[in-house]
Amino acid sequence: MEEHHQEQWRANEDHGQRQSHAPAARPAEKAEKASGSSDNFWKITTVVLIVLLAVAVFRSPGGPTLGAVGNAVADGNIPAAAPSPTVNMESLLDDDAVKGDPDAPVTIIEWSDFECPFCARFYDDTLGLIDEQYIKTGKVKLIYRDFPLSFHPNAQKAAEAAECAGEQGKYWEMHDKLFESGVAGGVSVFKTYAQQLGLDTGKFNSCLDSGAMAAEVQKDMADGAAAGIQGTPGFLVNGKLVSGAQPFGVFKQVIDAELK
Amino acid sequence: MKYATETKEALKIVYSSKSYVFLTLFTAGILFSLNAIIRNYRIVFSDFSPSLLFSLITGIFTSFSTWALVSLIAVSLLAGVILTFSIFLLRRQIASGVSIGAPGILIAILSPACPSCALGIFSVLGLGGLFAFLPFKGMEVGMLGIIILLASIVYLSKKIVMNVCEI
Repeated sequence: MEEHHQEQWRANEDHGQRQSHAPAARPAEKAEKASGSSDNFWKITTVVLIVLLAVAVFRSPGGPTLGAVGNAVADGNIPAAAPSPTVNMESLLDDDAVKGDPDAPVTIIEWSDFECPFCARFYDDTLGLIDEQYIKTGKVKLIYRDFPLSFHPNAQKAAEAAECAGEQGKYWEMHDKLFESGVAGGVSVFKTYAQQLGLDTGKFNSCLDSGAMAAEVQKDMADGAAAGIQGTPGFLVNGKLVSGAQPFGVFKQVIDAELK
Repeated sequence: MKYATETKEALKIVYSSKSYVFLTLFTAGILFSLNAIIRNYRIVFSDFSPSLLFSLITGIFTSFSTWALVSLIAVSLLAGVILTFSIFLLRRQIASGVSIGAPGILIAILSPACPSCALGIFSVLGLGGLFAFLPFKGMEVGMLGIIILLASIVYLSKKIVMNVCEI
């Protein structure tokens, strides 16, 4: 079948060559020229895109990310800061909640959004296993930092609610509640969560309503952007960037490599 | 209708050989896997192991939305078809005795598949955040990529089934 077409094609080529010698072949030449310029367009576009790709890969220490097809994509308003190839973990340690032994050899910083479905997936499928095998055994500590995306209407206040609960020493309880029960309903629902968790509701409500933790949440977000986080969930494992709700196997490999 | 017939004919011609079917599936698999690991390429370089690669590839099912997954599978398969068509045309050209240099071969293979490179360019350039401004958070780009790849297949099909000298 293929040979038949090849022969036919060759015949066409010969025929085309004969035609091009004839004086009446002007329209054919024009068509050829048009086809040639179309081919040139593809060639030039290819070369330009390959050069752009190469420059981007080698110049951007943050490296490739696929925000639009992977984890929830970051807000365009986030300051675009170029992260360094080895992220300085010390500069990113804020006064955020820490889960595990503060002296654990491996530190995971998670940037997350309580309204992001991929963050909830990480909480449901992976965090429990990391907790069981690495956090409870003192090998890893987890620091949670906020990254509420602008198109998630309840995410900012949910992050503030967790920070307000943290003021009363119940950050992780509120964190778990927000992921397990959801953020639909917004502030009024967070206030009922505070009640259920036995918090001083007067203090909690005043903290949440005043927006006392708004700046803290925004600082977390700015630090995340500076570290190269472009979507949620995003992680730094001892300075190594892990993007997306990856399965436990990915975290296990990276943590084990750090523990060696 | 004419385009659909030409494409169908071209698919019949090319995929009459099993090796081209294998080439398409192999290319699609490579592209799919590359997309799974590209976001986390730095940990691949620093902590490389076959099990890490496997975990990252399976991670695509937990870290991608359903639409993104469908779109990625479609783009990978279409790009595989384009590469196969390009190689088919190239082999036919070589068999006809028309000389072609190595850069020419590279460009001939890459040119029609170019739109699929463009898909990743935004995010590689760190412009992934721009998708947040789009109404469907970047789904439009996937759809656009699929349309461009389909157009490339139609364009290549025309070359494969061409049996007249166009004027």
